[in-house]
Amino acid sequence: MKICCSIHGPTFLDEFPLYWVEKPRLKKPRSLEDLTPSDREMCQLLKSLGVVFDTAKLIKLEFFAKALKRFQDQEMVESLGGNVLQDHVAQGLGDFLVASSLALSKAQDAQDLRPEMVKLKEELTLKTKVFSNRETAMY
Amino acid sequence: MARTKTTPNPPPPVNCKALYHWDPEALLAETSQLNTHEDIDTYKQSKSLDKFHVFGRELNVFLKVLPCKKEVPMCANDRADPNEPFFFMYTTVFKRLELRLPFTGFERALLTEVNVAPAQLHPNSWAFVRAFVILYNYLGHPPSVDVFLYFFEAKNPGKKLWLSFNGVVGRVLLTLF
Repeated sequence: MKICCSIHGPTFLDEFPLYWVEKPRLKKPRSLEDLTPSDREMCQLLKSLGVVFDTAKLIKLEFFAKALKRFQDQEMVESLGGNVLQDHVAQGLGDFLVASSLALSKAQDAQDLRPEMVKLKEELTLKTKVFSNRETAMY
Repeated sequence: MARTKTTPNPPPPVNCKALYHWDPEALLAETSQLNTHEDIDTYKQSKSLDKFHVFGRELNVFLKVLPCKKEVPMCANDRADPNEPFFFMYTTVFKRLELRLPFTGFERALLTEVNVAPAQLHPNSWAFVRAFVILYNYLGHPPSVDVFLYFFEAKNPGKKLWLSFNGVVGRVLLTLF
C-alpha cells in the first residue's frame, strides 16, 4: 500500500526515512549506563518484575480498556505470586503492584531494587493467601 | 509566433534494477496488489479495518492511500515524482497489528534511530513496537526509544533487507507475535 502526505500537510512524514535504505543502523542493546535516570529506573522495574507479556494478546485487547487492564494486572500478579487469582483480586493487586513498584523504583537505587521486589512478592503472596482463605470461607 | 501544442512524452519504463542496484532480487520482485482505486475501496471496507484511522480521522486529511503501479517494487523511492513524499507499508501491519497513522512521536523516533523506512521494519518487529506502546500506556508513562532499545536489539536484515528487533537475552519483555 502506498501512503502519501500532501506537501502542504503537517510534518507527519518528517524525520524517519520514507524509502528503503541500503544500510539500516544496526543497534546493539543499550546498557543501563547509556540511559537517563528515569529510563534506567523503568528498565530496572520492568526487568525486576520478570514478566514476559503476551504480545498478541496486548494488541488484541488494546481497544478493550477494561479487559486489557485486567489482563495486564493478571500477567504481573500471576508472574510474581504464582497463584491463580480471581479477576477482581488480580485487578486490585495489579494496581497495588504497579503503584508500589513505581514508588519503589523512585525511592531505591538499582542495587537495592531486587531485594525490595522479593519482599514485595512475599507480601503479595501473603495477601493472596489471605484473600483465597476469605473466598473459601465465603462459599 | 504561434504556439504549437505538444503532447508530453510518456515516461520511460522504470528500470528498477538500475535505480536500486543494491536491492536484492527478492525485494525488487515484491510489488503491491492494491493497484486500482477499486482495490483500495474493497480493502477499506474490510471489517478488520474499523480502527484504521488513516481513512477516517479528521486530522489525516493530509494523508491518503493511493494505488501502486504493478511494476513498482516496495523499495521504490520518489525519483519518479519528487513532489509528493510517500512511503509503502504492508497492509498486514494495519490489519493484524492495528497500527494507526500518523505515526506517533515514539514510532517516528524509533524508525529514525534505526534508520529504516516503515515497510523495512519486519512486521513481527512492528508487533513488538505496538505491544511496547500498549504496555507503557498501562504503566502511565510515554514510551521511550532508549528503553525499547534496552530490551530489543536491531539485528541483521534478512534477504529482503528487513530490519528485525530481537529480544535481548536475559531481558525478555514480550513474546513473539
